[in-house]
Amino acid sequence: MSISARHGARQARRGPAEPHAAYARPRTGLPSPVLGGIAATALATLLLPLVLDRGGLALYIDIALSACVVVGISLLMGFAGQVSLGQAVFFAIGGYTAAVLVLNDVPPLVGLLAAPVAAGLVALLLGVPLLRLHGHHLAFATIAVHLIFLVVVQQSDTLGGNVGLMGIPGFSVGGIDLADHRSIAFVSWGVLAVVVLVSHNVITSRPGRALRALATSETAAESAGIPVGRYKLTVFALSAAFAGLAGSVWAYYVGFLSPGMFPVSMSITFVVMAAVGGMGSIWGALFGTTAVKLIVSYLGMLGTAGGMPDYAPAVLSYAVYGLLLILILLFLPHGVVPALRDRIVRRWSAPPRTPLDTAGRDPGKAGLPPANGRP
Amino acid sequence: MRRSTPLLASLTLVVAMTACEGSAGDDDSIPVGYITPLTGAFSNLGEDNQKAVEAAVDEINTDGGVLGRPIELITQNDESNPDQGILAFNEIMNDEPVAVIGSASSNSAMAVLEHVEREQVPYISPTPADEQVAPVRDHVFVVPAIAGTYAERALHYLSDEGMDEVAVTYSETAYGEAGYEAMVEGADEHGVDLVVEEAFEQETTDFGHILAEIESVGPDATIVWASGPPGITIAEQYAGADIEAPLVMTGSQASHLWTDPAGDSAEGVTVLSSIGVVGEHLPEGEQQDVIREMTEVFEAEHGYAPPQFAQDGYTAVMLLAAAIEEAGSTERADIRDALENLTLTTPNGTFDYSETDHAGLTGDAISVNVVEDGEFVPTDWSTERFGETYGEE
Repeated sequence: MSISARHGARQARRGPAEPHAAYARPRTGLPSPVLGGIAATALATLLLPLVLDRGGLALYIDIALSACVVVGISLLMGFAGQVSLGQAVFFAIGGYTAAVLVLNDVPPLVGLLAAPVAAGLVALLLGVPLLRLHGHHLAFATIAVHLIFLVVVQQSDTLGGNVGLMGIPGFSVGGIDLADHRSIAFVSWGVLAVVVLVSHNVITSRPGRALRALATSETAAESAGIPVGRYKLTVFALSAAFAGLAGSVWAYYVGFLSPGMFPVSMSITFVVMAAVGGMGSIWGALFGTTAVKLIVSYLGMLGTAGGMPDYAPAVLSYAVYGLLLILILLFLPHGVVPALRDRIVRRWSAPPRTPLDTAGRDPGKAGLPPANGRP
Repeated sequence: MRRSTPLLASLTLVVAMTACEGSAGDDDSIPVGYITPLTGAFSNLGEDNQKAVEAAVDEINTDGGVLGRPIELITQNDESNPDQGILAFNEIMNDEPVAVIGSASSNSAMAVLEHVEREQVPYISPTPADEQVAPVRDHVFVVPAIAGTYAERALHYLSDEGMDEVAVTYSETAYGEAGYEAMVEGADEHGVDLVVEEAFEQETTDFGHILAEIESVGPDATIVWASGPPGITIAEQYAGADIEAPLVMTGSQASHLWTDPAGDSAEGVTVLSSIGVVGEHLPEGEQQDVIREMTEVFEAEHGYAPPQFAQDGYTAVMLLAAAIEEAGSTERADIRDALENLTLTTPNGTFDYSETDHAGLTGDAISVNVVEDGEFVPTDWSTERFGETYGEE
């Protein structure tokens, strides 16, 4: 908690966030179109729950909470260069922490705050041995952690075992009931906003720059005096805390938790979302989550629409969905958002007659000039 | 990037708005929600379930509907996935259904139950998870016989046949644990002694240590609570072990999804099933007629006999239609009350829901069979029970 709280507080003093911070240089004044864009997105998404129907709200909540996890993954994989295929575990830990607390008559708000702390602490403990691994080995280890976690929950009576924890009370703050879909949608928005602000701060801070160096070459970073191990561990814990925070809201929303709700495929889907949007970019995480969830939901609805053949759901959910993912990763290997950004940056910053001047820069990496054009 | 921000926002809006469309049909119809796993791990159950639900709805609509109005299904795929199940449920709630028929995937069924209670919409569940009805939830009614009911029947059979010393082994799943706990609870009452009690993980592929223990203890019978792959593996290894005690399997194995892969190992194994599975062996009477009608409707459309999950889907529609007819109203509260007081003979047996019992079936709805040439044939013990329960006077 201390990390996110500190950053949150610092953020509050600094004022509004710059969203695509990953690529901007710290302390640059933001061009007004960017600020306008951020404000418009924030406002639009904040107003959205007022017009959405119940199904739309459920999807909105799902997207917002998943995005919290995916922003963490993007930070971990895109900046610290660490792979995790077990992020759903921290989502679950957050959920279970909040659930067990409220079922023992602790106020839901306390549960909400305790969840990221618990998930972050577990990540710290796991990270010490795990983060010594690299690449595939680390990926396998995180899957193993996921499987072990499921077995532990199944054996634990306190956590409801296989049957699950039932009757988790809805969210409320100081006697004000916030359990309905619309309130939870606003809570989810708030939680995501905190996650985005904290991430932005980490990225633009000195440790953030160190992390980027770390992702490129650990050896180089280490020889430049960056405490590699400590930073990796911190980002891992931070991403776990994000997932835990989202998991607690999810627990209040659904009112039920069981090991069956956290399959390994859930962890993998989170990584897919980050990859689609673009690793190492907060916007990428937000876009990737929204895009994947909307596509899945839309294909699902299309599959069961009247007049569709029997095989439609299977074809749409497997073939069409799979094809879309393959196409995105084939043609936009760095993810959708970095690709779009490069294109726009190129068009804006270079006068039409000399497009090659800027196109020559390495696009996928940090340090691109902001759109208003720096020398 | 800069430009993509408003673009993203408007895209979100547009897609969200298109998502809101699609409410359907003529004003006169009765909207009923239906969640089913058409893809993912439980897709083969979900598809059979859907075929039967649609067949039952078509049959009712052809015969003039309910209260003179046609039923209109609002179907959503939960992808065998709990979070999609929650989205599916809330999407359905947009269309103001009078009731919801739930998912055959137990994980997604469990995940929506709190929402069901908050929305106070009657929910009929074609998945056999005991924890749906223990404790009783006001709006949740279960269709298939639950593990507790199977356990009751098994104990009854075992003690009547003089098999007092029984080995129990169960998978560490909600189904396995519910079955095992019900056995422990009812053992004394039936004078049965549980001489081996062993759990195994769902992923287990070698049951050697459990079979060795059974071999050394030498019980009168062995009962296995499992679903999916371990049900097949343990039957194969049991057949290969030197154990005389007969093997008893439960409702999860009562289909060709188990007999086909288990092959020869299944021969002679005792398997408990819903009476609908052995409808042709029932005595003439109302119960057999109901099963035959369903079988004919389903076979006419799809060309094969309805498996268990199809029967559960068909039964769910029957129960709901009867409750609406009984209530004389399409108000959710009236339908709920009617369900709670409903007594109805269906392919799954005779339901008798009450305030304290939202599972509705008794042991009479379960047949104890032996596998002969890959078919389920009721034991003499069961045939005798059928005569008492379902024979015409």
